Formats: sequence, structure tokens, C-alpha cells
Amino acid sequence: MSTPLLDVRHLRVEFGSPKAPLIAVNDLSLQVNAGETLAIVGESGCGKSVTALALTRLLHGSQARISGSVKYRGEEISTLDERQMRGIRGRHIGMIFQDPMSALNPVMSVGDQLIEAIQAHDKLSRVQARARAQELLEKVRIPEPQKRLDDYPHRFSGGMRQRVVIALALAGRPSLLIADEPTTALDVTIQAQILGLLATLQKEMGMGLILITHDLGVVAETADRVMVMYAGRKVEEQPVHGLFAAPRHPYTQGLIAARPALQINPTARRVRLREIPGMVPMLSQLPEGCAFAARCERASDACHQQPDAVRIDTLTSVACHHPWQAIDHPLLQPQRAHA
Amino acid sequence: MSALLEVRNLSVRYATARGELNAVSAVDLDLAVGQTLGLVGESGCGKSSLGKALVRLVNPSEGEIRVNGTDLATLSGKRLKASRHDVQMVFQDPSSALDPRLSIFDSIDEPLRARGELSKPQRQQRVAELMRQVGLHEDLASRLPHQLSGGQRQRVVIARALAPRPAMIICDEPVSALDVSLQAQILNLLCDLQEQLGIAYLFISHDLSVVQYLADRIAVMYLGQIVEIGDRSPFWQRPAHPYSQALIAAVPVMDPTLSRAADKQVIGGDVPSPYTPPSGCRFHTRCPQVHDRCKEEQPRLQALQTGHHVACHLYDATTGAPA
Repeated sequence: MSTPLLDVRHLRVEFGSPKAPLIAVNDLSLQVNAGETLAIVGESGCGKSVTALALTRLLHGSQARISGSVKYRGEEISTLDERQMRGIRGRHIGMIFQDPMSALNPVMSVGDQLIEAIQAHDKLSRVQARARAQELLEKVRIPEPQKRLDDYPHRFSGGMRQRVVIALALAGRPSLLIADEPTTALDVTIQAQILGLLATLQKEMGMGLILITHDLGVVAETADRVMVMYAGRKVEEQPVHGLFAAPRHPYTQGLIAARPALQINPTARRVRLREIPGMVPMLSQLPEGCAFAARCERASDACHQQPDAVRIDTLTSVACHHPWQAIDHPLLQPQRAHA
Repeated sequence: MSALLEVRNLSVRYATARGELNAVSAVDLDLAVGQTLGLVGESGCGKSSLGKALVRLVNPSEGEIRVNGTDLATLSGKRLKASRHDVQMVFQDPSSALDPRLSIFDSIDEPLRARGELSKPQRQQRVAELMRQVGLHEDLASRLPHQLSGGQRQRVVIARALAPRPAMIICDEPVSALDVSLQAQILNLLCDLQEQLGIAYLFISHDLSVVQYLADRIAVMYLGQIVEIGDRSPFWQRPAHPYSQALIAAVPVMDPTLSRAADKQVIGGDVPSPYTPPSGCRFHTRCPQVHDRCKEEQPRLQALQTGHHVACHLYDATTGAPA
């Protein structure tokens, strides 16, 4: 097997005092290959965003303690100093965050921001950089790119701003893009445009993509493989078709069943939604063993012990003492959703 | 079916630094006792302004809001205050809807105290009953909002809205700030309460899946106007307006075998500025089926069948309905 683009092993991120640490990410391993989309899905506080920040070492200002190995194209980057890391960010690993307004400088024209990013990566004259900035705006399908270069961010709509942010992330021609909730702040028609654009650009440029989201619909539309996180840990990992056809972890299954799916011909009577009882435990009060046990209908005494991730095949693993087997799976015949 | 709420020709205009903003333009709506009307649309379409106008949190510029026959649009002073018992509101963010210094008991008790009809022991009993109805443990009564989770806080807000025994609650994105596992809890709670108490909901949301799940009738708004309104089954079987169709098509589908973002047909463009809405049909700048006529003449809502209306020239009787 070839070397993955990104290979993360046993990543752990702690905050707070070493005596009583808050473990935001615990023993997390993941791989992303070129041209592949890995979705990381989970609810607020599950550690998905902290994971992204830890991979790119954007947590350095905080009191976070990060351990584990992060290899990019086979080379360890977790031990690089900040100056070397700046050579990785943007050039090799690009990033997109949720709120496009706070990712852009409001007092600098969009063109100047792009030129700044381009010149940070390549030795180009201002004229050359401006031409390249225009190409980037074209690439993200912003109409009349030449005119728009001199506009300030407030002149752009939310969707157009997120396109500018994507153009900025592409300025260094990264081979891996990390997008943290890139469409959460956008309306549904604009979300569909941006997801389509990301998928097209990824194909064109052969990039690896880590897409972080809370929305299972977005996962189903974009991911090749999916990793589900709960309370800082990976609870399940599967290729996308398997995850929706036969989720193994009771939490994954609960998430899918809790969300009403849009149907072509909805029934006249409402079927009660399956709730996940209780709520996500606080990181300061994590129970011994499986963090989901208190909310889980399959929990037993065994669940007081932390379950190991069980490999089901090369791409599928689940961390559960009582995972659903494909054979007894109630969701194997999923409801046909709206086409 | 008797009409609880009848809205006629309701408009909301704001005077802003950039000029007049038509947030809601000539909206007609009906809501029957114990029913749920889902109001969907993207940001800036006027759905929240409409909701706020119905409880007079913003003042309508023109039009009627009749609740059980009384026109709220023209009431003021004591009579307006009295009418508020009938229509309550639940907002998106439960943290900002609760006074951080009031205990849960005091928050739920406040509307009861304001009415002044019940004695203190009666109010205590009523608060305990309300907390039970929304699934809050009585031990939480003395807590402050910050000691509760987001889902619990939303239950408090719902209990407070129920306190004056309203006929109708306007829910403005009540689950949008919640995680998926909590959304299901709150949606189930809203359904249970409707069944037990016969409350009507105006459910405002950008989330079509949630609206499909809850609503008996659906209204789609675009730039301040209702472009389509229909009962549950005809609306979902045959969404007629090109904008409704585009909205539905854009919803991410939770089945990777059916839909992938890379090959999805998506409507282009952005919502135009509400300060300068397009002439004619306001959707014509993005409509895949636009005709010359759409740029000049504004379509009116017309019946496709009983209980299903659309404002689109494609369905004009003169030109014939398209296949």
C-alpha cells in the first residue's frame, strides 16, 4: 500500500491542569489519501474541530498539550517548529473555516488578500500574482473576477465570501484541504453550490479533503469514508455507503435515526423520532469506560471498560462492546429519501 | 376546521439607513386550531419578521392579524397585552431568551404573575405541572439558566410559553441551535404537547426535513412574499413553484446511493438584496424556467387545487399548466 497523504496515530489533545486534564481528543488515528474525502462527524464538543486545529498546530497559543504522530507524505510534522510549520500550512495543508466573514480581512480588498497569500507561497511579481488571483476567483466560479478583485469582503454575499475563502485556501496549491463546517453558516441552496464546488475542485486538483461537519446529509453527499466521534474518541469508521446502510455503533445509529429524512411522499401520520436519551457528557465528567454507555440501550457491565476499536475489514472499525452486526441490522433497508 | 389565525395582506416595512426595507409584502395566511403551519425560506426572506409581526414584536405596516376574530394589528395598550396570552413565541437561542438571573421557577412563573389571576400556591402548582409537561425534573426549579444544558433551557422556554395556556405558539427555529440528538427530543416534545393540549404552531425554519416532519401545511417564502402554500400531501407530492423545487433539491440527502454533491443539479445565483427586489416575479433572476413575462408582471397566488396555491406564471390559466 502506498503512503497515505496524511497519517495520524494516537493523537491526544489535553487542556487544563495536568493533574485533572480535559482530554478533548483521545487516541485518535486517521488516514487520508490523495483525492479522497474523509468526513469527521459528531456533535458539539466531540473534538472534531480541535482535531483539525491540532493537525495544523493552530492550538499553539492555548495551553493545549498535544501528543501522537502526524505524518504528512510519510514525514513527521508534529515535531516541526513554528517556522517550519508555516511552510506546511497553506502550501501543503489548506484550511477553510465556518464563518467566511471572520476568515477575511474587512479592510483589505479581496484581490490584495489573495495576492498576499500567493506571494507568501510563490516568488511572483505583483502583476503576476494579480493575474493568478484572478484565475483563482475564476476557479471558484465568481462571476466577473477581474472586477471583483478590487471589492472588499462586505460587498460579497455569504456564499461568494466562502468562495473567496476557498480561493485563498487554494492559493498555495495544497494537496490536503481541511474544511471545518464550511457550509454551516450558509443557506441550503448556497450550501449545495459550495459542496458541489468543493467536490469539483477536489477532483480537478486531486486533493485529499477532510470535511468536518455535524450534518449527516452533508456527509452522505460528499464523503468517501466517514469517521464518527463522540466525547473525544473515534467510535466508528466506515466507507460512506456502509455507514448509512449498516451503522455499527449504537451512537451512529442513534444519530441517523434521530434526524427526520426528507421524503418524496411523506406519510400522513408522523412516526415518532428515535431519541438518544440524555446528553453528551462533559469532558470534565467523563465516565469510566465507554462514554456513550449511559445513553446506550445496548450497554452492559462490559461497557465500564473502554472498548478497543475492532477492525471489521480494512476500512471499517468500531469501538463498541456490542456493535450491530450486518446480519441483525434494523437499518439495512433504509427508508428511501427524497431524490 | 376552524380558523384560529387569519392573516390578510400583512406587510412589514423597516425604515433603515439604506432606505425602506420591505421585509414582508402582502402576506395572507390561515392556521386552524391544533394544526402546524411550517414557514420555510432562506435567510432574509422575511419569515422571522412575519413571526414577530404576529405577536406585535414588530409593528405591521398594513394588514390584519385576526386571532379568534380579533384583529391584533390595531390593538394597543391593555387590550394588546391581554391578547398576548393567546399567541406565545419560542425563539432559536434559549440562552438569550431567558433572564440569566432568574431561577427556572421564576422564569416560568413570570407570565403567570403578570396575569395576576392565580394565588402563589396555585402558581407553584402550575409551574410544577408545566415542568412535568416539558420533561424537566422538579429539582431544577431553583437552578439558574447557566446550570442547564441547551436542551433543558429550550424546555424551560417552551414551559414558559405554555404558561398562559396559549392557543398558538410561534416557534422561530426552535431546534436550529441544538445538536441532532437533542433536536429529536424537542421535536417529539412539541408533537406530544400538540396532541395533549391542542396547540397550533407556526413553525418557522430553514430546515425542510424538520418542517416536513412537523407541518400539516407548508408556506414557502422568498424575498418577503409567499410563493407557495399547500397542505402537507399535495405540497410534497407536487411542489409547484420552481423555488420550492430548488429548495427541496438542495437539501442534502442522507443516502449516498441517491445523491452526491459532485453531480447534483443546483440552482445558481444568490438571493437578491431585499432593498431592491427584482421587478415582476422576485424569483425570476434565478429561475431556470423564466419567461419574458416573469420580468414584468408579478404573479399572484392562485389555486392549483383545494388547499394548494402557487404564485407562478407557469400555472396561469391562460397559458395552461405545464406538463
